[in-house]
Amino acid sequence: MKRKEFLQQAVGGLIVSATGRFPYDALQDEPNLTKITILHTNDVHSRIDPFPMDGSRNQGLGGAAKRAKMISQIRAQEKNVLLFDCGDIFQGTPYFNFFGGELEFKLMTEMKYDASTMGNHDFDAGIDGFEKQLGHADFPFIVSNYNFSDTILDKKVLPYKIFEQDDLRIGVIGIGIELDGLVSADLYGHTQYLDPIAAADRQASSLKKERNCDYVICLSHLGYNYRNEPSRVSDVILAQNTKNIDLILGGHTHTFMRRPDRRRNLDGHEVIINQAGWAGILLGRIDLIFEKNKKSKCTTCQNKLVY
Amino acid sequence: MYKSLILVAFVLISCKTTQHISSTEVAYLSTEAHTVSDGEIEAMISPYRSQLSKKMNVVLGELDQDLVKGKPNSNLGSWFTDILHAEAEAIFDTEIDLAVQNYGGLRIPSVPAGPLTVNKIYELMPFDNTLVLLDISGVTLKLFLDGIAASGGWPVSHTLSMTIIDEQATDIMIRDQALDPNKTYKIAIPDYVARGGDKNDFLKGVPLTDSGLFIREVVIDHLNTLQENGLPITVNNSKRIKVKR
Repeated sequence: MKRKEFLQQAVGGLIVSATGRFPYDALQDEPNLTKITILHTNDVHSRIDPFPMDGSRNQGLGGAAKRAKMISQIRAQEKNVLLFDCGDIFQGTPYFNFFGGELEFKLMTEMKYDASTMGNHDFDAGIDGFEKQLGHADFPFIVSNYNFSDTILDKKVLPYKIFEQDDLRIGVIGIGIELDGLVSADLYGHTQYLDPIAAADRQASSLKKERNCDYVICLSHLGYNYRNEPSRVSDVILAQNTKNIDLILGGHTHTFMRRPDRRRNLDGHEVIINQAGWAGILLGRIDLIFEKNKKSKCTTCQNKLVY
Repeated sequence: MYKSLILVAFVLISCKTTQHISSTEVAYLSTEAHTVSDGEIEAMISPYRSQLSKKMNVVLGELDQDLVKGKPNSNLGSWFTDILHAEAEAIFDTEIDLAVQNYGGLRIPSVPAGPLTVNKIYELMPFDNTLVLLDISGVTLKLFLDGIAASGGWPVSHTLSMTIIDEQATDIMIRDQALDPNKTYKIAIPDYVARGGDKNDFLKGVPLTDSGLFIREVVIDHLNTLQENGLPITVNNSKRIKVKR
């Protein structure tokens, strides 16, 4: 088999490892190919233990200790792993009512989360309650469309962050949902909500054009898609009305997707939208293979999405 | 001359190396398939869990049926709001007209038959929402019920009946009387809704008495009282909201 054909088949998923994936190691002799594995959760809602075995719908599902094991098994196989959460870490079990989110952050730190955005329920103990727990989180929170400058969170939440993996630069932005009407004003205080499309577009464009990012990920808590409210901003609307975002990892709507959604952005480029249910029942996994090459030339590119 | 310039530009562009996305593979990994837990994480959780379990595993009574959340009515919603109704009358020491719980405030889809624990009530109502009493005009109450109709129906106590037609509340009967726009009603709801939550901005000016009691504590107290008096948990599954299409 010719080398080009081999590579095309390999990254196209035809040659796969025992786990059904093309492992990082197999690309070691291919200096032009880099693999990044993105793992993501959303709306975990303080589900530290699995759902209790009491006959209810989700019994036995989820649980931080199992998720941690899944993550460490993947880390053992893959070199470039990025682990993200898309908000609503807090609220849903007594762990939050009694310990205020401390354990949630400690466990995410232990699992080596790389970043998270904020969901509306992360304000449930007030902005002060969130700030109080930040010391337990050894990972950054990224929100590009909340202005915290008149609050206790000033300079404690990032507008974006760049992750360097091998010779790739991955830019990450975060988009929060409108808080008015969803969260009591006394809880979010002077947090100012900025237009998500403008904020995302500005940050993504700066990451791609000025900061040389190869790929831009948006951690979003807007919600996947509001079919009955077509004008309500959502991940689908965000994807279609911006440029420079490659991947939207979502939350808020607790959506279990059968497959990722693919939309065209303002430039006609594809944006992938994904979400992983809620409560830690699922761990989303996205394996990306990049080929470094001259601009007009890509040996393995087939624009293929495998799921 | 022109041609060579274009050629040079082309060569410059094509010499720049770029990262192309060669493939994207997506999967949803279920914890269900994994039986092994991470020992270190377990060890971190354990002291927190044991602090909670003493309080959370207390059994408040026995449910004789699965309670399932749904729209426009559900046995879970009716059971919950009937408790709020009864407790509001005791707490505020007055007859009330109606108790309402916002649909999104009930956070689990079902409560199974069998022993009902404190933990389950926390899962069902984790928010620190308090129970408040509104003195609301018939006109504003109609607006509130229209909003409920537009979202497909919320849990309401047994004193209300109405029919949803085209997202509007119609045939509204409260304690067997047609809704009177000129009357003032006493309704018990979560403070979150009374303060404008779930698109209820117009409730913000309505006179409000806050019990200062968390809704889940109100429900737990109610169940404790039943148990202390040897009474069973009962569910009135009467149809409160109808939908006409």
